[in-house]
Amino acid sequence: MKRRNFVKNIGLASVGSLVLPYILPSGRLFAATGARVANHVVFCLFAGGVRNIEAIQKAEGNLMPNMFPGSEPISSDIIAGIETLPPPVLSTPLLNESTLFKEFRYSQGPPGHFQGHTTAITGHYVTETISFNQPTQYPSIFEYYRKHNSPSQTPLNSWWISNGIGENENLSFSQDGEYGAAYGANFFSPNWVLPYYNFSPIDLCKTYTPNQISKIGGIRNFLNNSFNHKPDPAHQSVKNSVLERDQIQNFVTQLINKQKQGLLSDPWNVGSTMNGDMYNVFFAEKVIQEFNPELLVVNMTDVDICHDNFTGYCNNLRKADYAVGHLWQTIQNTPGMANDTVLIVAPEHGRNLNGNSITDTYGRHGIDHGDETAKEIFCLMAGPAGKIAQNQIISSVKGQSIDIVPTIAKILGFYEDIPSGYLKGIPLNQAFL
Amino acid sequence: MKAKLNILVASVIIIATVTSCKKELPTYGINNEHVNLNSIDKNSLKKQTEFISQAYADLFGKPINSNALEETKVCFNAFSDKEMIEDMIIRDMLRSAKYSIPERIEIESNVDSFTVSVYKRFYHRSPNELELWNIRNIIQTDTSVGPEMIYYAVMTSDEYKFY
Repeated sequence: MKRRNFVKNIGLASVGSLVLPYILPSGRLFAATGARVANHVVFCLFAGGVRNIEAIQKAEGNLMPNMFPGSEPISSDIIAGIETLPPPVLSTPLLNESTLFKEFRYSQGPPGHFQGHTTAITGHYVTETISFNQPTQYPSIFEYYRKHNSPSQTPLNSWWISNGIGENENLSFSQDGEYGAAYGANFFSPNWVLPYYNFSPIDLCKTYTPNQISKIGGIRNFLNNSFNHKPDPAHQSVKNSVLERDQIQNFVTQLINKQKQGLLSDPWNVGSTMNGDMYNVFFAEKVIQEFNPELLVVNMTDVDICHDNFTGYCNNLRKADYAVGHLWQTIQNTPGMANDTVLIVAPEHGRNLNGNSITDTYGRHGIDHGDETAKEIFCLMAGPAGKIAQNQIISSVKGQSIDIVPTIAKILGFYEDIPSGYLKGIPLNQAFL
Repeated sequence: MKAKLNILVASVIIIATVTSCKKELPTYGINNEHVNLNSIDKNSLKKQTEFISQAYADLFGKPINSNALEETKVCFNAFSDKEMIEDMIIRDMLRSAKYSIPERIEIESNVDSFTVSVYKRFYHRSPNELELWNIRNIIQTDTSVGPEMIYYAVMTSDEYKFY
């Protein structure tokens, strides 16, 4: 009888240990269910409205030799408007280490820059009126990552490096009650603080010793305890811990010091061709080298001059391609991220089939974005051999903008942990081995 | 005298702590009275522009020019961690304003007067007894704490975010 009870109890205990959930120190019920494809993802929102016609189909020659193979010459009528760049950064085009979705789609909603950014970062198309002045309605990839990744991560591991301020900042966290600022990314728009616009209101901050910081903190605590109002949650922003805030402040201060010494005027030795997109990627590289973030999103916008300057668009497309090559090279030269990073490159939307009435110096018509062709884009996913299918081209219509968020979640191993109903897209599994 | 004051302040703190407890206490027929330890009535969060221009004016005694205000506002918008960039902007102002901030030796003889001037300058109100005592205690017991550190703490406190 005793033996029977013993066996019964052991059996119940075993079943219990399998059934009862294990609550992690982070408060999550289970550990992340998916294995990671890689430990870092860099997502580049490429260039600011790019047509497949110039990018993939090379109608004006191979404007993107860092990403795609081919020696097609640049069209002779615009060549005078194309600046000289150094040879490709990469010894072989990035496609050799990538899967290319040639016929990717921005399927729904108006092809506007902010709508495109919002779709790519939240995984939801924007089909209704959108507010530029408040956090996005749906959670961003940053929030999914910080809430569902196990172990949970601080904003130091999650960066949104933007070429523009204003509405773009609203993509770092959403209004969703289950997510929000507590899970947001470190939004940083370096071009507005550092050399490109050539001013810096934060000059050289007064520095304090850790001991002084501690004492100042004590005084501040007393002052705060004497005050009966706290900032409204609606005004809450992303918060780094005191320690990580210091790290970021030191990082920014070091960049400002370098700027003052003239060390950031031509960091890639490309002379006057260095544009805002290239600077933005350069600062993203600095974040990569300093913090090894697990998730970083960086955008480029300079090809948007295409509305009234088609040749300038082609010129900036080459620069954007150069920046992507440089970014990949930096990732591969950064300990901790080399061979452990997936780089996703996709425009937020495309451009119209036909030009508008504005012609540039070379007689080419400008191109806006609003028709069905503007929904045709590409998506390139580069990563370690053995994890990402190399030199694979998917030519059929496959994949769409809302698939990027679930794809990032899959790469970082928390896709299965996102509650059902939140995501409409699916991971781009064709790229994974 | 000082010892008596310390006892008085400690009593106020104890009473405040006890009465803040939510447990219902017998009233013994005495009417409940809400006792304010201070008269703070600020509940409007400063907008970015207001925060920057107010901080500049409070520290330098003159209005910020429109270009500097716009540039600082842009800088403010370039980061999502607002406390962090706010802190950097304040520390940059403190560095620039170092000649208009008194040295510790100048305030040692009358710390209360300094505290009153700080509260009026930045909080636009007078300090209460507890605040006066606490700042005095900090400055008198720690010789490494100077006016600039007090300015920094005040300008990055919650109350300074409101008007």
